[in-house]
Amino acid sequence: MAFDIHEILEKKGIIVPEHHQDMLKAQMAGFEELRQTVNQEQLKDFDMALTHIPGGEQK
Amino acid sequence: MSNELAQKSIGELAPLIQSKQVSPVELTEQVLSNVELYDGEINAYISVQKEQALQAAAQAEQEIQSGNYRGALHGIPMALKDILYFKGEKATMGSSIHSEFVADFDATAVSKLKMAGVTFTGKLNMHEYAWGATTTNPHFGPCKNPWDLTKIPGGSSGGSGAAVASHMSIASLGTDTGGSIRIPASSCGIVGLKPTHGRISKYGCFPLAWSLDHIGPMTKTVYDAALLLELLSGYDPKDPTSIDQPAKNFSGLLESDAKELVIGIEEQYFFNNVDSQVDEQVRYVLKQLEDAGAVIKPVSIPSLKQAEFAELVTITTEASAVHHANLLKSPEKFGEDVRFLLEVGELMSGVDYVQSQQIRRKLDVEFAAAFESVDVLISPTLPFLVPPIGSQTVDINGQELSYLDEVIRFTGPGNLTGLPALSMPVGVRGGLPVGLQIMGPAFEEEKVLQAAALIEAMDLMKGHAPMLKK
Repeated sequence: MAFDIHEILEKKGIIVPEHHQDMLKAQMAGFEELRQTVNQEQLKDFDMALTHIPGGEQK
Repeated sequence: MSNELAQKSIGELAPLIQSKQVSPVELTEQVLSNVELYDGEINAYISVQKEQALQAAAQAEQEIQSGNYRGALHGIPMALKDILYFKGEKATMGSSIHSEFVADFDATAVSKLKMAGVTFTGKLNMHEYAWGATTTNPHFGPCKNPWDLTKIPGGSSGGSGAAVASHMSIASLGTDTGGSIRIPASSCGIVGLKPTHGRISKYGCFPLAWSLDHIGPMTKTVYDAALLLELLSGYDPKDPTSIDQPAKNFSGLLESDAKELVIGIEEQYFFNNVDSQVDEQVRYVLKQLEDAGAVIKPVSIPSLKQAEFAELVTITTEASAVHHANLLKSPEKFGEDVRFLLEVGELMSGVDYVQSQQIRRKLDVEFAAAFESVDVLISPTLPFLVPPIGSQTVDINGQELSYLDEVIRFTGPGNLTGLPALSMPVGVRGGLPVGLQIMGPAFEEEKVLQAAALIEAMDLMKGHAPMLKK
């Protein structure tokens, strides 16, 4: 996982300090637990409701 | 020098200034004297504008003497979070990268305060780029909590919270993306109001995460928060998230009857794993309201269990988009914690982001349904009492938990939904203030303020004040 994270960021051109690698691994492991709370079935019919306004902003 | 005037609220000072019983110059001198006395220890200010403030105060005094009183903010000394642009002045955003940045226009909020005749005393400390909630700033030094100098003031608007609590500013503005007005308000024992998203223009405020960012008042009283809200409200075509809703006379809408108030309680989320002292204090307030005739009603908002995911994904992703170029070019110029969070944001997927926006929509619907049967929702603002400076963890009933994970647990839903939310002090436990959060329906800030005014009338902070040196 640490290698994957490092590789993803390196491919984007981001220099990651060595001591961040374990911290990032731990953070993303915690995030993975949060991701499990997302009920995919419930979200199926939900619009994402972005505030993009066709034709530009209100005048 | 006596500092009695500097301890007063806008609501107390305005009639005295209008009737010429109080001089804006004398008031500003007292505020600046407090800055000299306290800020060496507290470090709430990034920069103090003494000469400029005294000149502005003299001008205000002259205008008032000539019969040109502009309104309740005229001659009131305020310092703002150093993330709002003032034309021709530095705005550091608490960062090294922008330490020499000079804005070439006024933020809309600043422009409105200038028009109202506010006297600006300086720029306030904050968490770097507002991306964190400790205000332990690596570039300008840590800001300390006036109630206990070993503790953090919360953040990211920690300088605003600490300055208002220690009378180094009569009131202030903060910005709030995951709780950055309400967290320092709770930590420093003042009132902090995050209005409905779109109510106050963000034009000229450096972004943290566009879809979650808000500007709002941080004040000594509920009335002052209402006054500032009505002044700053209004549609602004320069801000694409601004919504055209009529401004209201919020300060004239504060009176209400507890017997007509229906309070919603979402036990499963907003009272889960709360420090026992905080929990006790908030439930005490609820009991007082119930005894006064308010109805307490349980509500259920099932999607709150996905709120932490949506908040984390949205805030990290949008913040990393804002700072992407600088993270590539000069990562060493960011503080350690902000650089780490920016790296986290780069790791989120497009799917994570879209699903987070779907969750937000679902939360919008569920909160709206809850507000069909209750006027406001009440909860603790924070699930803990603030930790020492430098601590990465908080103690909740003997459990050592991550500060970062816990700090926005109760405030984040207000940002995800954009609903108005206020934190106010409701007592002191262990020498530190306890904050209570009130959330309300979109664009109905008056309901939040009315409930807050009822609680303020209980006088729960009587006899409590930060231990400032004499």
